[in-house]
Amino acid sequence: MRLTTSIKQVWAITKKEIHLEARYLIPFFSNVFFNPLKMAVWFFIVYFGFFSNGATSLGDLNKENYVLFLTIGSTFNMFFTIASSNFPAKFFNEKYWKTIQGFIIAPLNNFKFVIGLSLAELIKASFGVLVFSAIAMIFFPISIYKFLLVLAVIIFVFVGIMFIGLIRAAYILVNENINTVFEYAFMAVGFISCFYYPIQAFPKFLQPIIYYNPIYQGITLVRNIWIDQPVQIFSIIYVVVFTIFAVIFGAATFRRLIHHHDIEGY
Amino acid sequence: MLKVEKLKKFYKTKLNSIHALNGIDFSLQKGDHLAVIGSNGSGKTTLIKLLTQLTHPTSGRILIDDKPLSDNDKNKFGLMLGNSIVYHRLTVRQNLEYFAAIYNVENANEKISHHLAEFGLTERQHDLVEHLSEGMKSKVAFIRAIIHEPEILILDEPTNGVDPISTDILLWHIKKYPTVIFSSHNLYEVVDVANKVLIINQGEQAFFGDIKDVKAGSQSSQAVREELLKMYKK
Repeated sequence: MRLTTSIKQVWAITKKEIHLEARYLIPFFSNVFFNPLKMAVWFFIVYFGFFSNGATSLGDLNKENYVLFLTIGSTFNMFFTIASSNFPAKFFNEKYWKTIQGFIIAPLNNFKFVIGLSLAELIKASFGVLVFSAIAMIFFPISIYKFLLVLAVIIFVFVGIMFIGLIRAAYILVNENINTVFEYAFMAVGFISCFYYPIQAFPKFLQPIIYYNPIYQGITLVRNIWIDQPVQIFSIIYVVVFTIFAVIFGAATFRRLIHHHDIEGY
Repeated sequence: MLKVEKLKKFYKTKLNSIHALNGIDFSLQKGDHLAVIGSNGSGKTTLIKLLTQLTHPTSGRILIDDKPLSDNDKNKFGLMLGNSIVYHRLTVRQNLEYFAAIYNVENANEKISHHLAEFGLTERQHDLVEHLSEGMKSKVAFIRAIIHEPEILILDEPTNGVDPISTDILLWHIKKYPTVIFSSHNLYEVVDVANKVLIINQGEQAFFGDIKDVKAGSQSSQAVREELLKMYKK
């Protein structure tokens, strides 16, 4: 009974989000799908020229794998954008639409809310996933089992970033100054996540920092699974620990901030 | 049913500390209709936010059925804050279906249809809320607040910006509701709807009591309004 109620509540949130997004479709597609695609096209032009002129490799990149590398990078970047920017931006909208009160006074816990929102985002992102996966499959076909494993890793990392995004969302409600700090922090994390370039493109002293970025570990895991490279156990453990920590820490911080501070800004 | 004890809420700004509410005490029983009145910035909305857990008190207690207010009591309250808490980019029906699901309302579709018919919104149920008039938006916000049949209905200036016909319809429904707390600047509707009055002046409780006490000496509505206005000005 409680499970049925929870599913109904989560689905209601998902449906509501899809209906809200359906009001203006073009901004959504430009933000979530075309921006990562645009970045991939830019890097594709650079790498195409690079490898057509006799270069053999750039770190992990070579003539055979760079399209796949960019496609996986674009998929990750799409999910990263959704979880780190689009998801917190929903709270910004709800704050100024003055509908956020509806969430705060409702008999609903944070998890249901985040799951509902995540599902909506996954449904919306499915178009991008389909396009990017089709491109990757053309250049480097893999079995359906492997593909599902890749998808599972992406979703797992996505959930982790969503809960970190939840902390940003809380600050959007209670202190927009901190939101700006988050904006730059996420930008920096995106920069060191190697969506479109290999870790070797960075100076040596930065590489250890990048190595311990969980998003980099997630993307490396996916790339290795896809191209049949050995998968490091460290990467799997690191991604799992990151997501579990992010879920617990994100939910607790959101709850604490909302309970101890008032919504600020109007 | 509901007891508020020595409720205080202070806000800190960069320049000073604002005593939004400073020692509010009252209690309500089932069937009471409490009007909260006071000038702009007196603390009426803060009180409503505290009762619905939108914000938390600096000190004092809110008890419901003799127990401190907790997350488990959220279902007991229905809140209408003007025409906010309604998604203007969703249709009327999508809004009500969403909130009915969140509050786990049984037979939601039938209830929604019933309320829409009651408020004359059946024809507009598939229109986006942003395309409705202010009065209609308020009706949607009101239905949203009562969709889960809360024990206590809390309304912040429910008829603000609403035309006289829609005001009449809203007030008729508010009067019908068992237990209501509402803030208002309109002393006509206060006298019409409330049986208890709480007057807040700059965060301080100026008066709490039965409206009959205000009526002492005269039974005419006009006299009560004048008496309330005097108390309000103090």
